[in-house]
Amino acid sequence: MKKSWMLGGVLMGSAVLGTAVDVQFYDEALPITLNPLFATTMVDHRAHELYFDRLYYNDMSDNSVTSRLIDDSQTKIEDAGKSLRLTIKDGINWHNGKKFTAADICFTIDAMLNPRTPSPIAHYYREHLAGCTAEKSNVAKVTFKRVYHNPRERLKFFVLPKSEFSSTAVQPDTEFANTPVGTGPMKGRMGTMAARFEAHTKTSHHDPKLAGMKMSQALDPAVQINTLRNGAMHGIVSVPPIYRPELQTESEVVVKGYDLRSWWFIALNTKSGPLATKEVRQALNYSIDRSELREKSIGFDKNDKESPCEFISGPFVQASMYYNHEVPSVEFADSRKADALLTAAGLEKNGLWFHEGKPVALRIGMDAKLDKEATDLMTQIANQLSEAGFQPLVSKISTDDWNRKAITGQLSKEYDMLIGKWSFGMNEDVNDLFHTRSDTKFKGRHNIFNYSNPEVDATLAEYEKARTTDSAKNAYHKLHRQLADDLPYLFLWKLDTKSAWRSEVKDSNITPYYYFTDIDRWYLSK
Amino acid sequence: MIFTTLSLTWFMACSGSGTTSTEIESTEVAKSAILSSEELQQTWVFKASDATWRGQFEGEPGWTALFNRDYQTALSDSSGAGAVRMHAEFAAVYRQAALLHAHASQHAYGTDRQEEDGPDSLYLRGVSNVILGSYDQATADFDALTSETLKGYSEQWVAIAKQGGWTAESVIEGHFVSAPEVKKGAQFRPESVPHFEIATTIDGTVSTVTDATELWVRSKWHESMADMLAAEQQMDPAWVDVFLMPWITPMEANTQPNSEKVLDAVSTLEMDSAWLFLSRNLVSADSLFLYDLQFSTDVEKTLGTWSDRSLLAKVLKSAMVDGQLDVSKVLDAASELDALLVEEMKTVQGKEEPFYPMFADFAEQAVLIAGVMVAEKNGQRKDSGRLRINANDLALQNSKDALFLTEFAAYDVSNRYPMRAQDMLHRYRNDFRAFKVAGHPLGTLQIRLGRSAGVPGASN
Repeated sequence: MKKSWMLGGVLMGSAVLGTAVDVQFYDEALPITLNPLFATTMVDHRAHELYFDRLYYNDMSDNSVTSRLIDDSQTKIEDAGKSLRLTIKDGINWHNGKKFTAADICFTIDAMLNPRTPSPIAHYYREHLAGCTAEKSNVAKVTFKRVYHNPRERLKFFVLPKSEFSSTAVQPDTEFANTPVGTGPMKGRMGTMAARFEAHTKTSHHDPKLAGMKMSQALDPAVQINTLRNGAMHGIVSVPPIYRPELQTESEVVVKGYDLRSWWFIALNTKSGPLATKEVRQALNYSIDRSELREKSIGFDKNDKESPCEFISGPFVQASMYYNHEVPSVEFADSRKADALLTAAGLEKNGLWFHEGKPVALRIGMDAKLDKEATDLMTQIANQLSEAGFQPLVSKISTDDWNRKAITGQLSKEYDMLIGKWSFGMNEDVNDLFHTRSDTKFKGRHNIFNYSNPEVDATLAEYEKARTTDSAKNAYHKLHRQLADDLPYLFLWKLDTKSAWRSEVKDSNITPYYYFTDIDRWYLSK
Repeated sequence: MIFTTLSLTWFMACSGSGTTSTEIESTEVAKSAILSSEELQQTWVFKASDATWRGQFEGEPGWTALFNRDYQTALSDSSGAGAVRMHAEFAAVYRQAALLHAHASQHAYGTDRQEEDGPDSLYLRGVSNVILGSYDQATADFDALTSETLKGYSEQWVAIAKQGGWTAESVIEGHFVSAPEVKKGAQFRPESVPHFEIATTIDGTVSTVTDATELWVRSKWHESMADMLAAEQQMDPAWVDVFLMPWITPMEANTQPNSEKVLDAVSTLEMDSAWLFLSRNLVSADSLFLYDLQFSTDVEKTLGTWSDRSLLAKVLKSAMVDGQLDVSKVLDAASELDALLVEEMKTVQGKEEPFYPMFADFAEQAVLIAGVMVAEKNGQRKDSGRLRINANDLALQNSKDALFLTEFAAYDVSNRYPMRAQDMLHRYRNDFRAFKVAGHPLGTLQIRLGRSAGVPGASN
């Protein structure tokens, strides 16, 4: 029987969970930081949505731009459209009991505008915001650099408390990143094993029905599924695809879509030994049998019209307008093509492939959390490369190291190949991934192996400067083709994200990208 | 055989609890506050547990394909009343795709209009304004056109705007593919996109675009096919109107024929079960209720009027609180109905078949989709959105309904949220080949919103 949440779900909830009111769930990992200016992972974004309020956000049911902090009936457009005069709603308090004021809004904007705040997120807002003045304790005037037809869309940042900082030059490694003070629906702190949340009720703008939540790091997938089934856990943010079909038929669990665009890749170190040669990278592309990988690690069902997994040939999902459908994906291994390319690149085969007299060893790393989503993916890739005549050396990279070192380009000496995934919301900008790294301008900030190609940089600049929608699209189509040829990444597939929540967690609608925007409505049935 | 495929799929999805029907001992029928045992047994879902009733569909490749959500095959391989139904489904899907195109164009060249957009873009916005029922704005847009070609394209739409909407006598023709003759076995060939280029204001550059007209023409062609095939089956074509009414576009809303006349015409007729099997209705009166709902000015009264005949009206009436549809109650009712139907099938058939829950899921979907319509009509737009999201989440593979999903996509796009819609169009691209026409302005909107979004790019 399926989805009888009114009947079975209620009974199961009471019996197994007793009187506990905490909702416990697994996320892919723990947050890296609880300071929203320095979010880098989807886990960060989801956790920040609980601790903080964004000044404006999109309503999950009709996408309207709305605010829990601002009384929009009093908002005034001033300075010929370049300023918004915002009036704060009454009775809003921070988690520490202090009153939320216009000074907090202006502090957050000033912090983002301060070049000594090393935040890539702030960098984005610097392009749009000019300043902020606290005219009264409840009135802030925000000024933009130019007139926007939808200025509220540019105010979706998380608001920080002025009282918790000594300077507008906000730094990432402060105590605030572990014990934040927000106005969000949940307050709490990050532990070593879990992040805990307690309902923020002493305020007028939130009324969460859940008394508390606990976010734990995902364990072995089978353990996650079992603890969800037996009621010891209420939810899993990212359910491994292989377990989704069976969970969908369970009465006590509801599988829910999480609207997020994610694609998987193997980044190649274009400065490391033979991988510096394009033909070698192209040969690797033909040495990987994506079809087999998908079947073994994702559990792909050929008859499933709703398959969560689809091959890609470039840095976009196929549904995106940016995807260049003229560039075919490589589904199967082709050893003849691979051998021809390697031979042309000067490598020799004698059982194994040799480069400059030495067998080609490939040091492969993978973001450890991905192993829970795609079981044994790294081992399968290593097996395929081994069969193709390479010497793979594999190791998993902790989530912390992945975020601090891999995506910041600091593992170039240790690895030749890194397996990871990127996730996107409405903004599918990939410039940060492929542009030549420039620390001062945040360009290439997610360039894993510090890839640098002037032609690619020029195309990325074309995209950035595009004045028409078609020219932006065409620039990314061109980029897609360039990357599929030059291969700083081997593009694998897009993989949909699905969550599972026990049926006693009611009204648990998931917001695209930020996930917990609607958490005030979630409740546990008694 | 449809249910061979069906059973196999079910067993593969399960953890291997057996390969044959399970005899059950219990004969006690669960009592429901929502529907009685007698009412449950009136539904097509319950009737489908009976091999004899099912027999009229088993072995028909069109129905097998529909169950497996292979719409293209369902259309080409269906026959008799099934073909009428499939053409009506396609007509409704393309109506919603035209609506999606209209919303996307409306935002791309209206709400999110950009410096690059010159007067040519007003043709696209003008067509969308007609489809959305904004005739004065449409006329203003068409008046501002400078391109002679686009002025020519717009003439037929100007006529619709001037007469205040679509009427039975209205005609719209496509410019990029010829509609085939309306005759048995005819097929509408796929066209290539984009359709044409429009000038931008930037350095003499052009943008490629598609025209919603082509989606509308397809919808009307499938409707004509359904009418023609219905006549061939000696089926009253009013059933096609009844089917389509919940899925029409705003430009049709105010010029519909008298609803009482249509209801009078079909109320005394027996509905062909081809309209019910694998549908969003449980009994024939449900389709009449949903037809009538579209004309309602008092939703609670309409629910009351139909609740003694329409099971969906009865279930949804029980979810009304102080004149508002209560989303939680709808979700609970839908779930309970799903469970009760499985129990009823097991009890009456004396065995448990693996496809019972799959059929019962159609009932859950029926309640949720009807709930969306009631909420919309009752002015509860956000609640209708919540119901759509839940319906999408709760549908099993075989009860994923392309028509509802296209409507959901159009709703999302009307709210300036293109991502789910893009995924949906991509997923069904081989079933509804002209979806690529709707995908084009949707992509334009997504790029515009994405490039101005206050959200980060890549996260890991």
